[in-house]
Formats: sequence, structure tokens, C-alpha cells
Amino acid sequence: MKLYEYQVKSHYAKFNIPIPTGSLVTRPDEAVDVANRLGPYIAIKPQALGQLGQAKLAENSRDVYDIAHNLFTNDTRALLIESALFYQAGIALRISRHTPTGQTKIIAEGTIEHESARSMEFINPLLGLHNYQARNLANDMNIPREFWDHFSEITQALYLCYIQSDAEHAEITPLAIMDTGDMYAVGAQMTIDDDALFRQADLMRYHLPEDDTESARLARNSGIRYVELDGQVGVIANGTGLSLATLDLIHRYGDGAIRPANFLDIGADAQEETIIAAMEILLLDHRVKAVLLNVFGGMTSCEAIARGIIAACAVIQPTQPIIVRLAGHKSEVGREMIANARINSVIEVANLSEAARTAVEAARET
Amino acid sequence: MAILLDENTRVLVQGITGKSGIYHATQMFMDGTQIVGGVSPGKGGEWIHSIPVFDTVKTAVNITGANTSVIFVPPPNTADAIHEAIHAEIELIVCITEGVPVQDTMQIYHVIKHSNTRLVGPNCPGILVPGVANIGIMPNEVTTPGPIGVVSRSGTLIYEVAAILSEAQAGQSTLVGVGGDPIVGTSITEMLEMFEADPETEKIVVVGEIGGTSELEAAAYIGTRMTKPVVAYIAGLTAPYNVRMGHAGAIIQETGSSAQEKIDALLSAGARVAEHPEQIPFLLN
Repeated sequence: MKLYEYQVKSHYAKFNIPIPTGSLVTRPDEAVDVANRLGPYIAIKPQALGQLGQAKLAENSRDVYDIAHNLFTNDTRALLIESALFYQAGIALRISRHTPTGQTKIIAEGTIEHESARSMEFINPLLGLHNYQARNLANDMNIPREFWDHFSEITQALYLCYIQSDAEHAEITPLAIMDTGDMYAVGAQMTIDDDALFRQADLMRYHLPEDDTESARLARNSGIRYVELDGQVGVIANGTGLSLATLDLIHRYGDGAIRPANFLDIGADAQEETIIAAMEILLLDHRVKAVLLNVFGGMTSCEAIARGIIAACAVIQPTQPIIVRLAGHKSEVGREMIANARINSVIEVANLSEAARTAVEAARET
Repeated sequence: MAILLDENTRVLVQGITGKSGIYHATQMFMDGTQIVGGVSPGKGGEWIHSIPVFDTVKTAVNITGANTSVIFVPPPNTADAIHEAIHAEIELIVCITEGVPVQDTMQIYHVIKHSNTRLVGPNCPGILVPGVANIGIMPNEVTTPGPIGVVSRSGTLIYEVAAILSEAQAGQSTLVGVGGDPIVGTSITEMLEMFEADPETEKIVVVGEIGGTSELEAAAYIGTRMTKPVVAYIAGLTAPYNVRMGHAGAIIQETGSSAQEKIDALLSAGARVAEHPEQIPFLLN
């Protein structure tokens, strides 16, 4: 799950990571009100999901209004208005996974006193971040020694936040280091492990329904993993590897002109309803000229899949060709049911490459 | 493969009373696997067919002498189930569950290093030795015994590859799904080491995908230490960057995690790489 910068800063504040004073606004006149409270120098940051917006600086109400007004677009619906901080030294702190060793890694990078540096520490999840590791980072980054304690506090707080939030990535980019030794998270970004959301109720509240497309919502409610791509062949498959292989094959036969419209994995225990939802997502996408459904049943029953296809076609009555390839568990039953249903647009094929080739040709002709 | 599964393997099914647990315990039982018990806290004393259900792994091990566990417990409690099995000194844990928080797996990964337990998974279809035993959810009917070892990060793609191999009379010695998560208990490289040492395996098929760098480590091992021929297929050549494609581990984010980089490394190491799954049997000859 991605978050907005203002949400990440608010979350960091709960862990006592210092952030600039600021407020979220959704209208230019609100921006002016906040600026008047914070003045005289204001940073205006457009908020976009999972991204750090480029800050624009303003010195007076007039500028704030104009800048804010220009930043609001269809995609940017909120701005973060903050007291601008002027700093010489900024360190980027990034925490993420190091999958080869099953550890967490923290990277510090930046320039202090004209010296650029980059340093990394690995954290054993059973032991946590040692204080000496934070001191190593401070030392490598040429942070003045009298500021080491405060830097260590913030680094520990970021790590604690990372762990307690089930984050995949967490960063402070940059951590501004003032001459006084005060430090602030001027930029903040965090991504949460989707598989841990069941135990992150607080963070789930940051999810805004308006950020979901209709397809994404339908997919999530049906336990379907869906990624929109830019092509014309809609794909439904079970399992990541099989879905990716199907996409690759469409590209192969499509020669660049015909490409997959999406990635869609119905998951390990798909039922009739899952297929109906998957077909709905694809057949209501006007870019889709042909659908390729490729299911190799392990636990998934091709009989249930066949019932889903028949039911979906009865309701939606597609005009696009639907190429169906069923294999594995109950595939003979499934194929027979589909043949008996005699749906005009359904074409049944036996193997994977034939299925991809047929789907690509069907999309070319339509 | 005698190293992972043999006739002495005695299996517990953790989460046996859930829908997935009941279905797959039945399938495995019918495939000839020695399922000696199931574990489902609160359901001890029940029976699934002729399989006794226990409340705890410790009790189950004491009474049945189980040495292996296959886990169907859902994500909120999967880590707890794995730790329980490690503590009860289970030798091999196969974790089928998809959706385990990565931080849970990370901790397990480090605990396991200091134990006698091997973990395969999470988010894997299991281990299948054709004609001997099936621990997991792979459909037995698409496999056939033979000299080809198969290791895969993907579940359904291993079924597809098994079917293609069986159709081409290229029978399989052992099929292992290592799992689609970013951090797993047993890597592709560790499986290659086992296949290299296994007298019943002559050639190996590696099925990889985008995300992480485990195939690069495998390529390094293949290039420097392996004598047996390897054919690989890597799914996701046309996947977009920075987007999770299904599996938690299937995301191109770091150097080396794209399909092309993996293919290049494997080719440099002397492996053959299929451009699509149906080409695999041809490259084995």
C-alpha cells in the first residue's frame, strides 16, 4: 500500500520523528490561511500517492494563492503547506529489505560540509538496530559529533516505525540538519507490505477510496490481483508465473503491435464468482479486443471456471472473442460444459502457445 | 529425492480442518503420502478420514512420530504455526500459505538457521516425488517419474512445465516449488545443490520469474560448481517495472531483478534458456 507524504509525516510524528510544521489543504484560499499562520517563508508541496512532490517556495499571500491555484489539477487534489526550512546539510535515510540475506538494510546518503558520502548498515530482524550502527552512519556521513545522539534517536525511531508499520520501504528524504543540531524530516515516503494490512488497522484508514479505479476495487473485493497494462488482449489466468508466461507469449506473437491489456491472477482457490468478476473487469474495458483465459487447475476446478464463464457470458453477452484454455483438475468436464453451452464468442484451445496465438490473431482482426 | 522426501517421511498437516487443509490432506493421502496426523488448535480429537487431529504440534509429534509438516494455516497465524513446528523439532516444514507478512518470514528465516529444521516456502505448492510422495498441492496426475529435477518459484507454472515434460517423455525425479515470496526458506541455489548431489537426477529445469535476485545466485552456482545440465525459463520478460505482479516477490525494483538480467546471467553461466515453456523439452536434449 502506498501513502501520501502528509500521511507518512503524520505517522512519523507518532514515533517522535520531528517534522516541519504544516497543514493539508484542498483549496487555494485555505493555503493562504495556513500560510498566514506559518509565515513568512512557505513551502507548498503537491500531494501524489507514493510520490514526493517538488516543493515550491512562497514569500507572501499573493504568491501562495497563485502557486496553490496552479498546482491543483485533476491529479493533485491536496497540497501540504509547511514552514519552509533553510538548511545546508541534508541526509537521505532509506530503510528497505535485503532479500538475499533476509535482513533489513538502512542507507544514509548526502552531503555535509561539501563532503558527499554514502553508508549502509544491515539489521538482523531478531536483534534490531544497534546504537553503534547509528553512530557508524553518523560518522560516515560526517555529522558533527555533538549531533550524534539526536541523529541516533531519529534513526532508531524510523526503524521502529518501519517494523511496527510492516513497511516495505521507509525513507526520510532528506533529514535536514540545522546548524543548531535540530533535525527535521523535510521529505517522507513509506510503502506498507500489502500482506500485513490485516494487522495495520490504523494505516488502513489512510487508504482513500477515490484513489481506486473501478477495476481495482472490483478486483480487490473478489480476491483478484489486477494490473492494468496498455494493450488489447485481456488476460485471465491462475497463478503469477502462469499469468506472466501468458503475457510474455502474447507479446511474442503480437510483435509489439498487439499486447496484453492487463495482468489478472484469479488466485489459488477461484470460484464461479471470481471468474464472473474477472470477466466483468475485462469485458467492460473498451480497449479489450479479445480475451484469453488460461487456467491450469491444481486446487482450482475447471468445472467451476467453466460455470463462471458461461454465467458471465449470459449476463454480459460479449462481442469480443473469448479464447479459453483449460487444463488440469476437472478440465475435461469444464471443456465439455463450455462446448455444450455453444457460446458464439468462445473459442476453446488445448495448449498454451496455441491459445496465445489465437488470442493475438483475434485481437488483430477485431 | 532421498534428501527431502522418502518412504520414512511422516507428515502432519497443520490447519487440517480448514477448507484447504481438508481438501489437500485428502489428495495427499490418496497420492500415497504418509499423513500421520493433523493439527488444529481446539479441534483435537476429531478425525479427517482416518487421520487423527491434535491440538498442538508437540502432542502430535509425541504420539505419531511425525518429522514433517505441511502448513495450510492462514496468514494471521502462519508464523505462529511455523515457530510451533520448529520448536517441536520437525525436520521439514512445507508452508503452502500465501500472504504471510514479510517481516514474519524474515524472523523465521533467522530462527531456522539455528535449528535442525528446513523450511520450504512460504507461498509454495510443495514438494512432489512422482510415485513416492506428495507434500503440498501439486496435481499428481500431470507428473511422471524420470530423471529431470524441477525447481520453480511459481505454483501453476510448475504444473504447466510438469505437464509439458511428461508429454515429452521427460519424467521428473523431484518437483519443488520454492515459493513466490521475496524471502523464502530454501533458495533455488540450495535446491540445485541438492539436485547436483542426487543420483536420481540427471538434468534440471529451473522456472524463475521477475523479482529478487535468486536466479542470479543460481547462475553463479551453475557456472562454477554444477556438472549437470540446466534448462531455465524465466517468466515476466514483458512485465512493467516497479509493479507487484501477483506474488509478493514478483516485482522489478532492484538491479538484477528483471527477467532479461536473469536470462543473461543464466546464459553466461552455461545454462540453456527457453523462450517459452513448450521449448523446454527440446533444450533438454
